[in-house]
Amino acid sequence: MKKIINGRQLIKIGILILIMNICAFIISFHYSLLRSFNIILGSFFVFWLPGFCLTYIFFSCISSNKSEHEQGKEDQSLNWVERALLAPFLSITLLVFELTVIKTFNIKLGSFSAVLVLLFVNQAVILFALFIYKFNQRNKLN
Amino acid sequence: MNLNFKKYFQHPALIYIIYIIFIILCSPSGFSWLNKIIFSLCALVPFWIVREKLLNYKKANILPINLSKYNKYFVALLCFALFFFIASKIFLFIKYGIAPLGYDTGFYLRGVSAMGLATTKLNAVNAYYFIFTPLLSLGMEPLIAFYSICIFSQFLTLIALCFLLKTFRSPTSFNLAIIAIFLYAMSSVQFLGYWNVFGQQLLAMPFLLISVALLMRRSVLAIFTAGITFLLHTATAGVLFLGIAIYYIIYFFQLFSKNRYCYKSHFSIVIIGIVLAVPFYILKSITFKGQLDYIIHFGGLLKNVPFWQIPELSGFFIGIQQFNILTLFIIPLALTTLLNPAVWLREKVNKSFFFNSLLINYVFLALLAILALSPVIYQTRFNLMLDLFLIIFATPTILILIEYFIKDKTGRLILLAMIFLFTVNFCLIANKQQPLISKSELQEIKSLASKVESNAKIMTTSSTYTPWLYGFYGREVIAPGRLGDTWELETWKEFWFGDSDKKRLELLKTRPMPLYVYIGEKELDGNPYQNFVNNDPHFENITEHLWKFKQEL
Repeated sequence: MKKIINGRQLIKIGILILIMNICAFIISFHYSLLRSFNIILGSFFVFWLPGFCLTYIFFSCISSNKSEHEQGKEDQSLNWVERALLAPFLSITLLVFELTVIKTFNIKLGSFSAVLVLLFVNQAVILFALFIYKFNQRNKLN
Repeated sequence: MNLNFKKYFQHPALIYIIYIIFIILCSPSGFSWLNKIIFSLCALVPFWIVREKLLNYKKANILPINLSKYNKYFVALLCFALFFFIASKIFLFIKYGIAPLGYDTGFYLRGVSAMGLATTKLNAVNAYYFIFTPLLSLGMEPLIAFYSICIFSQFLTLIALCFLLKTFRSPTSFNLAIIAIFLYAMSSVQFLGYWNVFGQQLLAMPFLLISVALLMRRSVLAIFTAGITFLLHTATAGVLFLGIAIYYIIYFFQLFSKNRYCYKSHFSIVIIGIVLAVPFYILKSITFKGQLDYIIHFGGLLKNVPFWQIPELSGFFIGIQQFNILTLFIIPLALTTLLNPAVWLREKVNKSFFFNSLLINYVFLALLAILALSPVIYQTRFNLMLDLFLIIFATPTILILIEYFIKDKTGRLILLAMIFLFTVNFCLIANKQQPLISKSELQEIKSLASKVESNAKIMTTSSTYTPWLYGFYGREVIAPGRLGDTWELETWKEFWFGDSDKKRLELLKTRPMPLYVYIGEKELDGNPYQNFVNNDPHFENITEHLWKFKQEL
């Protein structure tokens, strides 16, 4: 049976969870632990995850049989570190566009409706990126 | 790139002379000639080492980079730099409490607090305050949200530097990124920028860097990140657009030469960029027009600005002299890379690399150096951006120096001493930064709202207290020359230093009532207006620094 997550990916996820835990721990000096995790997870969902997914829509992956140096000379692909680095910028870009659209419809920023729109658009981006990723993987296998 | 002057430019003696001239020009103007010569001789050491290394590479015709066996040292440097970076941002809060940072804190706090009211018009979008929306929705208090975004923007700059350096696709990009993190963590200029809380610029700068990196990758996404830079901070966006325009002028100009370098994606970026510029402009049209009119009114030059507005319009940051001293270590290293572009890839610079990666960075470095040296409006703020490009250019030279010294024990000791020097230098500067307001006074200001009428206006007699009252009192504040103040400078002079208390009384009666006067502890004692407020029966003392003005006795 094919493994869903390999060892390397597990390490990456572990690093991510560790960073989030450290941030939550720092914030917990001011807020309760539950509120701290709430803030960190919410920030992760708004300031990082959508951008990370967007990189899969706009950039291809670096193939493992070529070095980054060789591949970089030829195309504009990204490895996972570069995706992680670029993610917050694309997330903030998306956030500003979302909020501009919200303003266009005269919805009060920070209201429940505005939060719903943010949630919906971010989820749509994540699902679309997942679809693109799967589609590309299938094309590669074929 | 087969230009004739190139072979003369690469002449060993000439390049040393050019370097020395640059170093003398870049040395602080306060230095005596003897000091300038000593500085130049010291600066020659890294330049000589880099030239020697490059010459050896050329002879061997290989890429003799085997830094992987020293990776443990680089990882240790990364851990130290990251720890130091986080500690340097947080220690101020531990040491001084909730308001350890600079002047603009109060203004931003008020802006963030008002975000929930959503008063922004669609054509006056300030993307900076948009970013707080999710944090406030998650239940964060405005002040905590503001500080979080301040620290987050510092992290973003760090990330953008790493991404930009990785975009050079150098075989040593991992090591370059670590050195950049170290230099950024140790940068006194960046720390002072953080301490002064230039919130919008601090967040716009990483977007500038990431836009440059995405342009180097010929990605259309650069247009969107550049657009966000524009919505965040106009001056940073101005530098970005000017830099991009110069880059593309040079790029299109070389298309007419025989050995042209051409990439179709550049054309698509320019066309899409021009098309998308319109909606971005519409989103900020009102604010942008206002700022542009202001700059045009003064001809863009500081000499046309009234003297009392010069500190504000020059950017409220360190001048070029201080900047020069704070970046004394970095400048020779950056100049070494500037004159030896082969240090990036450790091989001859080809046309593709030059036009894709190097040219745009050269353009930004030159542009920012010119802007930082010219007496233009916002002059001092360009230092903050220039420092980032100096860090980028210093990085590959430092890596070569590390390679040179890391092989033996003595060399490693020298490197340790250098790290120690950088750290001590930074700590001395960071430790000097004191909060602008004491804990007790801030507490007093926070409690004022409960002690005065809901429609009361508090007038501060010193602009030092303007942001603190504006942000932490949270209601209407009257301040010298700010927040829609109706008094001219001459009127204020009459109030501050005039001989007649009767005139002061008349002036105060022109203000809307109920009126309170705030005289902070940082205002020098013995001024005529202080004696007037202390002794006149029209004033009733409410708290240590607050007096209520009564129109009638």
